[in-house]
Amino acid sequence: MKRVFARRFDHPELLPLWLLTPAAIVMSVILIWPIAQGILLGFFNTRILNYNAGRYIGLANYEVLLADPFFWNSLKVTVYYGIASMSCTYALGLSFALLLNRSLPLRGIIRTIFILPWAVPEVVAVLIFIWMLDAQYGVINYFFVEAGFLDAPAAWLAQADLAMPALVLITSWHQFPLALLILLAGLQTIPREEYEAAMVDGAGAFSRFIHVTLPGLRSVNVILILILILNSFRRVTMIYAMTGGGPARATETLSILTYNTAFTYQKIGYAAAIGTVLLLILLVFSLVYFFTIIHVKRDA
Amino acid sequence: MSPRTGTILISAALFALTLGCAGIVFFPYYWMIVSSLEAASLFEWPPRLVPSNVTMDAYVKIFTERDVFTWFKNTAFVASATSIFCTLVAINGGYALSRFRTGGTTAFSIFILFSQLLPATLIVVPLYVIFRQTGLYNSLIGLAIADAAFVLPLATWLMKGFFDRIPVEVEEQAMVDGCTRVGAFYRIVLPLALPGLVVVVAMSFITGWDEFFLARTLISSQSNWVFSVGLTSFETQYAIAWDEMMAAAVVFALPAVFFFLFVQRYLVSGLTSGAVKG
Repeated sequence: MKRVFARRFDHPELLPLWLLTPAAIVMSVILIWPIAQGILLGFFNTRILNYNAGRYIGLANYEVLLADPFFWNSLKVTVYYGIASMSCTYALGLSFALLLNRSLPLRGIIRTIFILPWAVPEVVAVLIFIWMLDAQYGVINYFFVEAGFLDAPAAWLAQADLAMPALVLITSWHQFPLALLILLAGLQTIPREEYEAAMVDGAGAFSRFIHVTLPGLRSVNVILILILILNSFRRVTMIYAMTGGGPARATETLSILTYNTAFTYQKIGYAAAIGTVLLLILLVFSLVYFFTIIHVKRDA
Repeated sequence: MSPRTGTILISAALFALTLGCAGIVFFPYYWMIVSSLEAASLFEWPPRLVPSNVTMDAYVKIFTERDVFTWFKNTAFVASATSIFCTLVAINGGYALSRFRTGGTTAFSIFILFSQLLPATLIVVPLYVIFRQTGLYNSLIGLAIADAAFVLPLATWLMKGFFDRIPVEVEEQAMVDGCTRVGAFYRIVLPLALPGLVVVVAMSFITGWDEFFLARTLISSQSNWVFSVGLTSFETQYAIAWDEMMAAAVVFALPAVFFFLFVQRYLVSGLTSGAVKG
């Protein structure tokens, strides 16, 4: 029906073009044009103060970059942060989704509580955690010392080996509701009969999880894991507000390195080159993501 | 123990576990609120988990002695402008994507999907320069335009989803009754899509409200600070005023949380481009 309608009305008309023009203009000016500029800037030695005097220097930025230990450190940090935050977020999301995917008293209220972390502005989440992780009066230190995880309160954000775990902690607290909602939607598409059949075969709870639940979530899992990794590669606000990339560059992901290089060290040409590398990495993941979605939609 | 009591026990244990997890998840919220309400006993060790002397001092202070009111005003302006701007553009784009199948709309759909995955940090470097050159730097309108562009792909995609649920027969009937194609859209279809429209308005409002990164980069003067930027300044400017900072955080978070809970069930299908139904 839709196709007949479309054939009857759209062809001679330019209406769809007109409707899309405003969106196309806005997105071109604020998203596409800067991206193109950014890629170009990567070939210039531009600094913030001499924006118009930047010279074309070919691949020089990229040569510097390949020999830059901070770049390689940043790449390592990005992968570490991506995998750690994705795993923790996924694990929390799946555990809570399994807990919520049953008939519970007060299910609506409990579901809302589990979504609350996602609702809070990132900056607020960061401030709460900076306060809770405070070296002197932080309540998390108190709990950890009481529970025996720590001998004494730790300065989480000042120690290179503790800053990343702290960042992963806040990331997974803030982001797990997305995983929870996606997994909950996935769990609800698994037909009840499959569980009943498994129970008739004498499968226990764990075996049902392995043989029914996990396979049932397969396509949802792929999409979710890609989204979580892509988001962690692109994340700026949370890391910037929490640590700014420090201490000692322990949390300086490629996104943060790009920003710091541009606005702290004022080398926007070099920053653009780093950003372009990040763009290429994201592009590879995006293509995988894109084809997964097409695949999933075709199966659905 | 009969199997039935066993099942009940397991259910009860799982329910207790669920409540326990909910408690842990909620704790940062609780701690934010508690910290904002007790100035005197904030710096004690061990920390007082239940407040003893509750006071609203911090809330009074931030509105009288800090710039919170200015931040609130600027943020409300930016969020509203972002929302209006984004929604106006998204309804047209979303309608085109929902009702027409041409090369243009297909390319645009793919483009929307990709644009959600672009690194903000690479965009913002040239954007900073562009804003400086065009005079949009340090202007709240400029910030709202940038915010709107960043949320536009998701908003357009959500809007398309809402239009998809309205049968095309509605327009066909309207056109048989003498409406033009455009008239059918604005007069008949758009009112039917009102619930979706409200979601997009709220979602773009939250984005403009919460946004920190662009505001940090594109706004320079203190009188133009939005809430998120002002809030992080507490850290450096008033090093130990945690009660005030948490009070400001509560004031800032409240509208965002409220609107967010309303839109969250539509976000999942939007963020996964419809591959996962929310």
